[in-house]
Amino acid sequence: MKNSGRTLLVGLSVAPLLLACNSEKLKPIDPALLQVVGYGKVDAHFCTSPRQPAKQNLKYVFILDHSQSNQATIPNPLTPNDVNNTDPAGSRRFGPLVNFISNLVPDPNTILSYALIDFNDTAWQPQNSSGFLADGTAFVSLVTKDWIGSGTAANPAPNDAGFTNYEDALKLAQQLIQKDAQLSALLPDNPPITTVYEIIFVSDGVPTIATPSSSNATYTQTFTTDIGPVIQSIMNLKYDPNFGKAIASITLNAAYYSNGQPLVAAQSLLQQMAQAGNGEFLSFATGENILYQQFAPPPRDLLNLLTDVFVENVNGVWWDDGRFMLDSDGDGLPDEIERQLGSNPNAVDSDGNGVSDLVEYRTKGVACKDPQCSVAGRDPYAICAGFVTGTNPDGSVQFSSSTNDGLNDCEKYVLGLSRNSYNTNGDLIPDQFALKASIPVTPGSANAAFSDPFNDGVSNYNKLKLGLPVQVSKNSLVDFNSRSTSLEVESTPSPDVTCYHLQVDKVALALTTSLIRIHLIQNGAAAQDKPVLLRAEANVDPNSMTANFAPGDFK
Amino acid sequence: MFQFEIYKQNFWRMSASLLAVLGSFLLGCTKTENLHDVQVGSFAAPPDVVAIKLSKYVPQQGNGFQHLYVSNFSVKVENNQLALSTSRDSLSDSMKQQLAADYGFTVGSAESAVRFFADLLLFSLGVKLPQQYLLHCSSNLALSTSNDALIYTDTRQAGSPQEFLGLRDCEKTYMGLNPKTFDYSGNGIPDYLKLRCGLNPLNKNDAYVSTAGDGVANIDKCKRNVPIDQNFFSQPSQTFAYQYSSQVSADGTMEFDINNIPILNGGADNFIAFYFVESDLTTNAETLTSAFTILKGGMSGKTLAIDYWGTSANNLLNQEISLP
Repeated sequence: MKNSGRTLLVGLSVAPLLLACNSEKLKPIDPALLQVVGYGKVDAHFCTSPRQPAKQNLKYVFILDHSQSNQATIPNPLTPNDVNNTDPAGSRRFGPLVNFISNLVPDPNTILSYALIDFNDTAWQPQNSSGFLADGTAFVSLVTKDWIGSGTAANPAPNDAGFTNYEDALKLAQQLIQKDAQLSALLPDNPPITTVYEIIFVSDGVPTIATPSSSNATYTQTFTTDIGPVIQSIMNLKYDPNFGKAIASITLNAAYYSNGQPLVAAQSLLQQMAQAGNGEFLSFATGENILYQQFAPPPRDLLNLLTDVFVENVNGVWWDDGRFMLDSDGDGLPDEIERQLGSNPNAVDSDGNGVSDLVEYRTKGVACKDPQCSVAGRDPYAICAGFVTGTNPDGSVQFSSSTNDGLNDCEKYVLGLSRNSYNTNGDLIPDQFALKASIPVTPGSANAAFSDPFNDGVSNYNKLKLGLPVQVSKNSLVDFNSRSTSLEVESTPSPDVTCYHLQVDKVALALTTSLIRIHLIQNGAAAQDKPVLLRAEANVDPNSMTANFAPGDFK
Repeated sequence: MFQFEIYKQNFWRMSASLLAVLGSFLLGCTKTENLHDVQVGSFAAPPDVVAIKLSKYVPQQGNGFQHLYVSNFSVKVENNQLALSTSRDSLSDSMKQQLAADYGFTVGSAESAVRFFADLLLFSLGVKLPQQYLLHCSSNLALSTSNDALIYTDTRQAGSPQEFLGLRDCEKTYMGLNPKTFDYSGNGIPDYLKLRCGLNPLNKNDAYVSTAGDGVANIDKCKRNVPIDQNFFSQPSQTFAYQYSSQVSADGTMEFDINNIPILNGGADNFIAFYFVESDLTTNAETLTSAFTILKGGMSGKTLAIDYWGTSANNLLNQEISLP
């Protein structure tokens, strides 16, 4: 993209301009073929939306120490200097965790899930749980069972035994996150709702393990050799070319809890781990509960910025041959073409099968399977059976619509587009509008919008804004006015909201009372890339020749 | 040329590059009737300006020149006026004062509310005072791995603290960017500049669209330090927009002339940032070189002659250019 010449610095742009001067070689389109009855104006007032919380998955990984030092039993003879009796009843580790999960305030924009990893000599997910649990209640019950251990609800006795293997615990967390991100990356959500992984690592001691070769020798894992590299590979998951896009961020927090004099070695190691994991380290002294809420990421209330504005004349189409034509039903197929194809110029979906005439034409070359567009002879689109939401009173099929760009789920499916994005290829042009204007819409085709196939100095994207056809060179048009657009900041009611006044002049009309549609695109200022589409429609007033829009019209 | 006459009539001196942007969009050499009229609604008084002549630039071995961004970080065009940004972080003093109650900002520093977090980022993400305690920046992620920040000792503040204009590793991590690169989306604009210009650093295409529909790409407005959501041909934008031009000298080096750089306070303490983005001629990998200079007063109308700073591999990034 950066080499496409669109930045037009300095003299680089002069060359295409000169090339574009060879207009005498082009055969102009006879103005009589353009069904232009006049030019209208658009006058719109609108504001950016107030801040909105970033929608995200938030997945907690709790890694809890299950080693013997939690209990009052004397320290392992191999580690005589270890602490003991740090949390015999589990009330410091498990109790606050149950409270934390139970008291989380439901937030429609945060999709929570949880995973629990226990570790001592090795690491495991308790109760045969695997992966993440989305059900908070089920997770609380999992934690509670782990807490009770061999005791009772009144007198829990967690099964704490053995050594403290940090490395295995972290490796298990890495596997867990990698597997989860791989699955998320496969989901047909475009762009995906990314996931924030929040790891909370809780321990009361240094990572001493039994030496595998000998049962009466020990080895203490070090940050440099054993632990740091695993944390680095956890953090690197985000940059994996295949599934990294599903990960918003990964944070590793660490909590140390002690009984009596804290172990400096354990504290500093956990601190080092939190540093490498861009997380927080907190130390909890004798008897203090672990405050899990201190590790929760802050909610984000993203500032909305205006990204783009498109003005569409619903009743005017630049057809494939470069003619501007009337489209009474606004389906994107001009009336004259519909008459040739045998479809109804006054119905978006002539045969009532739920797929518009334009989408049928673009995917199959015919507007209806049946030349007369009869209901009986229509393509039933059996592959879209799952999207049927009902039948209209006139017998036409109704499909669900997951986006508001004007294409229903079946249409998106047969076009190979994302049902979860108004703009599948990321060029910011709404799929329906791009399809109508013959700009590529399929995944991976974003660069086509910014290319200039006719070398006339105007990219497809700019032609869309100027109301010009992308199918022919600008230089083949004579006696045709392109649009001029002016956007001004009208007011800033608060630092979070900006209001605009948009004026577009010279909007070519094939019908004096044409319907004008405005597509507004907003995006969060940072931290997530999910452009949102708002649309509004208004007819041109035949007296003022202007279509007027007010802020409340945009939905 | 006809376009030139229009501009002369309107007193707007346009650089060749701007003219090309305009021309390629509107004219394609054939027609002139679509030329925009300059808007008369709002009026901005001409500001004090400086010009910069940046000479002797050569890309690093194997690289090609991609972009030059020059920006006076001390001023921001806001409500069709030139607003002072003492903290140089793209939030004007009046904006910071408006936000002070919710965010705890002060005008003096770019990271005035939470240690190691840019005020601009907190505002973009909406992390207000009650939630700020949940933000952490671990000390080994507090610097910038990709070295894309401008870091300087701010002698204006008590104790002369180090000021950081950029995104720290922990901020990038928190925003879903990659600390190892200065340009996550690979579209030629450093992440920090995107955030300053109102573009989303995660988005690849928003720099190349024309939000205001005037045919001037957002990246070109960002280079000229004017708002992307305002008609470029409005009188205020024309008044404040930088004018870039360049030429290749006989010795093969490039010279850039950047005219009409608005300043405040006669230039005193105005912070001018420079970023070159280059791309590897074979792999297209991007590299950055950066520098800054802090102006003294009494600069209005003057031209600063600066030689390119990147004379060896050791001084490509975050170089302070001392002025006589």
